[in-house]
Amino acid sequence: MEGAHDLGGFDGFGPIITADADLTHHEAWELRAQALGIVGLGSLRQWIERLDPATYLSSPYYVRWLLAAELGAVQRGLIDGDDLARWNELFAADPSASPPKTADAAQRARVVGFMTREDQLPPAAAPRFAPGQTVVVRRWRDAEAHHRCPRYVRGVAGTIETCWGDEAVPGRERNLAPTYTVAFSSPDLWGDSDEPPFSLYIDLCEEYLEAAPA
Amino acid sequence: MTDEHDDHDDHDHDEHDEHDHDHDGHSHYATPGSRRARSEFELRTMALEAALGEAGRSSTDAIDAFVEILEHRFGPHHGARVVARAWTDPAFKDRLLTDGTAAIAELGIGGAEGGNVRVVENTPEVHNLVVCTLCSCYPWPLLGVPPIWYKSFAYRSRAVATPRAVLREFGCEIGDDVEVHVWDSSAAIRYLVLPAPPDDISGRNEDELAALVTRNSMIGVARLS
Repeated sequence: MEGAHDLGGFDGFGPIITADADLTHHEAWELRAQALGIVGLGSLRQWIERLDPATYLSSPYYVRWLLAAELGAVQRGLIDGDDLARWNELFAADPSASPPKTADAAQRARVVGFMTREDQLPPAAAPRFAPGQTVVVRRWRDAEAHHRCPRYVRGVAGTIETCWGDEAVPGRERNLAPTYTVAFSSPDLWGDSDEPPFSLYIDLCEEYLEAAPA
Repeated sequence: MTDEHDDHDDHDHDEHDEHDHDHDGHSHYATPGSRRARSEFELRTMALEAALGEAGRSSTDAIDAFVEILEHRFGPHHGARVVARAWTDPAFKDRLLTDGTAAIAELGIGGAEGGNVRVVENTPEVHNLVVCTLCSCYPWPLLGVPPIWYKSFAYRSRAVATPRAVLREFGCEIGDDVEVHVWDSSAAIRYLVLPAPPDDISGRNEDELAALVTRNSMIGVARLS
């Protein structure tokens, strides 16, 4: 998706609120909205990225999780939109109501398993690139699938720093391809700057990369 | 969740870092009357939970388990233990910088978003800073729920373009002679910054050292030395 979530390099969002640096969220429902997205739908990134840009940029973080979980749950047919509307009406009308408590040992065990297990990338079977090699991030776009290739690195030359291992290519979940950490020099990304040059490292899937012209 | 629990929560949530968790560790919805009206989005979250539960897609006890682990079993106290161990045990530090995932497992730390951990060390020559421009990727087992500023558009947009200006907003001045390395963790790898220790750590044990380690220092927006 080429959505509003791809924020690297944007300006205009104002100062970073650095007071209350340890504050993680405001209200309990926020973490439950995130949990519903992940437990109910699996990964939610693709649905968050599908929020229209105006909605994405005007919604707080956990509201985006909620909106995306609603969108994904209905569009994937996990729930019926009419059922969701019925529950919304019920809770709006009865301020003392709560979601019915349900217990499901298998689901709970699945969540505990997911949360306490490490999914380590397997070693790359056949990496095309080696550390130290110069690569260029392809210029491309994909309006449909979730991907992890921010606009600000496309078309820019960088250096393979590490080959991490094979990862399911986002948006094409059955294909495994190596993920690399690629190092970029800030002038190549941004041109002249008031700041001294710095190094930018980002993890990119092999299919986003091509060998630099000799 | 009962009224009794919510009554303890009757304060301004914008000002404090306490949350709506009850005392056995589960986060639940606010109870009307105890504090405030439920917001539109809280009501909608409840409706979604009810609809997914009714459809057999997510049980409330599974949601409870997710939140309990994310909010309470994970957290920056684990990251701080890792940092304190690295400061006091050079062999551990070597293993940590070589294979972060395996090294934190030695301390019993791991879980979702912790399977591919890379630890990057701040030194007199290099200052590391971690961001996720595309979403909010973060090493959950080591640091827990990301702070609000980490998830903000302001941080996500500028950390990769003007990192020194961003650091200055946190009161963290980086000399021109120090290299800045920015890590955009938008894919599968999760990063922890190993901050440089305070100037004099002699005579302190590991627990005392861990207490000196801040969440911000492990993301790279603060220094301890």
